Amino acid sequence: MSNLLTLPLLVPLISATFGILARQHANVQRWISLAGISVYLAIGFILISHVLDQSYLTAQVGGWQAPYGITLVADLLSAIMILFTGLIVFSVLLYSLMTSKPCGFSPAFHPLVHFLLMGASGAFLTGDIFNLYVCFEIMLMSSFALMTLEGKAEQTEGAVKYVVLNLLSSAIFLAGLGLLYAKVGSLNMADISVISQQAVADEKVGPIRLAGLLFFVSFSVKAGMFPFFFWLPASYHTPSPPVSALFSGILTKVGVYALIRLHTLVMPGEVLGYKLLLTMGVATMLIGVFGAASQMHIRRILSFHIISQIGYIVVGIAIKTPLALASAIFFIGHNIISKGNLFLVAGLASDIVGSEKLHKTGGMWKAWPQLGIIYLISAFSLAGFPPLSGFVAKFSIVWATVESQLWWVMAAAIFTGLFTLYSMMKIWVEVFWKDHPDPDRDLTLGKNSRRLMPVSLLAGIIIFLGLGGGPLFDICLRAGEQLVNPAGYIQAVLGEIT
Amino acid sequence: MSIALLFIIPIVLSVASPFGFRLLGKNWSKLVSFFILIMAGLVILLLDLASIGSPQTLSFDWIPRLGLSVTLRADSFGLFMALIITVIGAGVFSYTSEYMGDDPRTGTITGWLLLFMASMLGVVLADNIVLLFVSWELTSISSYILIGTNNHDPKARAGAKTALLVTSIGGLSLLGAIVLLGVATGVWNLSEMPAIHNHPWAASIFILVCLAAFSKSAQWPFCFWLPGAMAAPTPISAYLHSATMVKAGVFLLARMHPILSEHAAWTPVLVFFSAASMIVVIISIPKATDLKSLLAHSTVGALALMVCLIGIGTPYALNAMTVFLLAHACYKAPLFLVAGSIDHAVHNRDINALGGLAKKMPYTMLSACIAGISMAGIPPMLGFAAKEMILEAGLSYAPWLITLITILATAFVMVACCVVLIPAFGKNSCLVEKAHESPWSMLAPMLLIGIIGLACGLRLEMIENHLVSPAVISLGVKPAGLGLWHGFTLYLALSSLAVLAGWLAYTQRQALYKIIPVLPSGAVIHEVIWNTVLSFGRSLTQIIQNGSLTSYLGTTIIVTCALIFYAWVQVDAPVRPSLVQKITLAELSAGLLIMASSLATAFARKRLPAIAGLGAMGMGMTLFFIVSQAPDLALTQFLVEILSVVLLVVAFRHLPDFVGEPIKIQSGRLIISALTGLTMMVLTLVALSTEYGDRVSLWYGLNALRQGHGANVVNVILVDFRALDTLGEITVLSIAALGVGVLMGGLKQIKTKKEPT
Repeated sequence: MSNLLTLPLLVPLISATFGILARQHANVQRWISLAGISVYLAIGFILISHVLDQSYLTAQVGGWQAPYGITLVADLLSAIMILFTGLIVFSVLLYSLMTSKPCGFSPAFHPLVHFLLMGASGAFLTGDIFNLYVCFEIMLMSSFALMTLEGKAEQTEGAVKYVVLNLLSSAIFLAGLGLLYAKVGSLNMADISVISQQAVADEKVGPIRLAGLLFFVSFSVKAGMFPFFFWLPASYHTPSPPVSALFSGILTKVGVYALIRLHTLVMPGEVLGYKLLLTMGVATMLIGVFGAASQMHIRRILSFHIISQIGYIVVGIAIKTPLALASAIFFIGHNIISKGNLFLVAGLASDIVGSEKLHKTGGMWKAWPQLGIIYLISAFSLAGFPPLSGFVAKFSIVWATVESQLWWVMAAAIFTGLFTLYSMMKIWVEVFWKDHPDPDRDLTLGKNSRRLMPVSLLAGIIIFLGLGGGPLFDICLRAGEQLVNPAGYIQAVLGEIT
Repeated sequence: MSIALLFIIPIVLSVASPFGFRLLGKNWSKLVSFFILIMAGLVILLLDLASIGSPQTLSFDWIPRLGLSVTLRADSFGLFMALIITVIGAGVFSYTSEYMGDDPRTGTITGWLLLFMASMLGVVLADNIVLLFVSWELTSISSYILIGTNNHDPKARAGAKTALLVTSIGGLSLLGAIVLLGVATGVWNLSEMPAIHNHPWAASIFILVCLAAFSKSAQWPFCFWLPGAMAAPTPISAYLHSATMVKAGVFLLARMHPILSEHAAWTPVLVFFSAASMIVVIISIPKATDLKSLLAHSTVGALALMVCLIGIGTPYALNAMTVFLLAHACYKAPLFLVAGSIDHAVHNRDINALGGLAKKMPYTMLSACIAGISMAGIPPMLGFAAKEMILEAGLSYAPWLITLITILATAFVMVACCVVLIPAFGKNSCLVEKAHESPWSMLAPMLLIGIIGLACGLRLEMIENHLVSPAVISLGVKPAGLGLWHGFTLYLALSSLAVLAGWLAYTQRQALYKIIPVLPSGAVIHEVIWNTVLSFGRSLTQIIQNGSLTSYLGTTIIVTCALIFYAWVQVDAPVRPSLVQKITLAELSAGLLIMASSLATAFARKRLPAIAGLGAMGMGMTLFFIVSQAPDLALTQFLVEILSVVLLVVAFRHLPDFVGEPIKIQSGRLIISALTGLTMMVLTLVALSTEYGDRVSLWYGLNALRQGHGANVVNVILVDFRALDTLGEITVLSIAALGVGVLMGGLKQIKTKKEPT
């Protein structure tokens, strides 16, 4: 069964390779891309069903036993991440197949998306911290290329900020890796976990903590946390909307995933200051939402919201009870779908009204009520309104803060909700309710109407995650319990060695 | 099962609404109205079940781990509310059919109204508090969309926005309150919830519940959103903003009464805030000239009375509250509908412009009279009975309160006069020409609901036995007898005084208008607070996200270094100088070469010297590798350096010659550089000693040849032990090539034979 774990890396790699080969034939390339992501999504479902059965799946790549070779591991968290990533990439690709924007034409688009997917899958599955670094590089390079796909000046400017700050983060990651390897002589995360527990007992954990802090900074940059989020609002509004949707669904979430692994597996215990994480989470939540409330551009608003929502997730990670981790995981899943859909809807709407600047938009509620309803579902979900997915996510986070009696965190979470609602409504009023400033503008969808399909699909998932959230939340809870007790993970990776 | 029908019917109808309207036109709303009447019948059946002590329940799991289950419990108080919701709902739907006519939006509006009705029924019948919250928020959403029905009008959009924001403050507070309640008690069903006034969280829960109730029920300081919400079409105002949704806050307080009312703050807080709301209403009413706005202000006053009665909390007060709730629904909804009919007929709602409509719209004005008499509290209407009870309950609390209540009752009389007498019998205005009587589907609801109020007043015993008493029993208090005639009591005197004073205020309203001070509008204050917070947020964002990459990099580096140093001081990470004593001459010269060339790079003003500096730095690194006896690394580094210098020179040949500004040493940047160097030095020194062995690297050394069949350990690691990393790096390079291709424009065109779709 261990070969199953290599498929989430191999399938995108193969799709990307064949995509490059088929660059001269747009239609062939599209079918390859769609087939590739469909297979990936199917693997995602198979993977999660196997993990639900067996708790952990491992694969020692090349047959080299851990900790000497590289191990691929899937626990429930990895499986959930793979599944949701598959869902959003599937929808984005479906959407971009139906778009008439240039990025749909660029022969590099589909291969790059699959490369990005490969990097993300690798990050979710790898049990080796250096391999995680490599996966980050794959993602960084492919996302940089995706960002500059249309070659607009604005895109290049955003992309430069993006790549410079992320390279800094990579350098910090690498410094941490060097320090850690010098101290513990291992790169396997399960092995490091064992050694760092030993170090805690020996009171020699200091240097390991310093390495952990370097990782923390690096992952915080990737996750878009305060005060490291600058690259995100600088760049996310520049590429074509499907690319923005893809980034919002994958990039920051991989950073958050790495933070979870760091906090629960690699450096368990009080290695990372709990108060530090909590404070940064709350600051991220508040500053992100302030940023969102003060923007007047659709995708800038949405970009700042990503940051704000990361804050909620980080709070869940910091509290670190099974319930808090479960709500963080559920939040990630919800956010991948809701936020991704908002970017897609925003793209569709701005194509029709001709601008993303709020004072130049309007008239969509009358022209396209279906799109309005889909927007409302996604936006109210993001603002945490029942019975949508965001409600389950926010409710469980609030519950976790109450259980731990963190009143100020709870107050911040609630306060943030109000401003989230405000900025979501701002888009609604300006794009949908208000009349279009140019009364003669033709607001027909034309061929765009086919793009309602992927966004409706995502809206359906949002409702499903809200109304049928019980089973998924139970799975998240099991994932949370796995994370709190890393012994099972370590056992699965290291086997008889320990 | 029948309890489920109460939800299934409106939700199915709601989804079907856009299609139903397309099929049946305005008859669709009439059909809906018929279904709602059936639901009202169901509610009456359920009431019978509940009054014999076996309320119907329905329960299934939603997210059990979060306490969330769909648990409905049809107890008498909930059903009492449900009856109001369904009966008035049926009237409103029938009214809407003609009011909106063939307006294409009617289908959607009917859909949202039905969704609202289902969620409102959810609020009143939910037993699970999370379900209560879910329904509560759904009423806010549907109210938002419904207020914004006339979305082309900026006023409607602003009113909708304010309403949603204010009610969301309450919604979010309620979220906090229910989580606290649930975690504190471990119970999620209202029917099983113990009194918790002694719990340390009781005060917080109480504050949050109050925020929720006050914002939903438009109490001071949140009372301003309700007049703004009058931008909605009148049937919506009648239904949501007088008869049902705004009562959700009152309902919540009533539900919390058994759980929290023993808390010391319960009575003073509720009475204080309701009194403040009453004062605002009393001051606002003489200034209002718009029919709907008059009614909206008086609704705030009525809700304040209910909150006040719950605050007093005696069984008698709760009885009075229940009766008044019923009376208010029976007179306020018809009055709104009357206002809507007038607006529909003459397109004007200003009392200074209206008059003389009694001849043209006799039945409309008849309904206005019936409802108006009840509002003014004149026998034999239910409004009279309610007023007597309120005065009696108020007196049991404090004399100042009863004075205030009497003045409020006076204001109600004045509103009733303004709304009924001016349009009906005022001097004929030019508008009369246009006026026409409304069709029956609009008249019937207002007449019938008004007559229900009259019938209730006449058959008080029946109301008491079947509605009020069971309802208050399910709130956990004793029923008190109702009576239309209590004899010549103080309350009768006060009540009559209020009627007289109200009449006087009505006739002298021009004089009053001048005396009454102008209140700072709550809406303006709300706006100011929001704008302050927003502009704070905006300046904060501008400082943080200022667009300068230099500042982003600087911040990231400084924070990182600060964190590392802070942690380094905190944790035990020894730096052992003993390990760095043996510096050879070769190492020293390599180090000096690196330092000199990096300075040269930093201060270079042309590209070529900068590249040369970089190359020299790389050579210094190569030297280090040689000194450390790593020839293969040295070789690799050497090749890489040469290649990159060559490539850079070739690339830069195509660029215009760059002459930088004379380098100024900026102290900020100097600090950042020094800090970075210092941090990396500390980290390197910390890294010098290995503590937990070199198990893995030893294993590589041992097994490279034996198992990997290669004499070069590094090679075996790269292509075998850690081949996945190498695959990844190869992928990175391919992506880079692809990206460069994109940037250079080489991949831009694609030859597609047919036009891409």
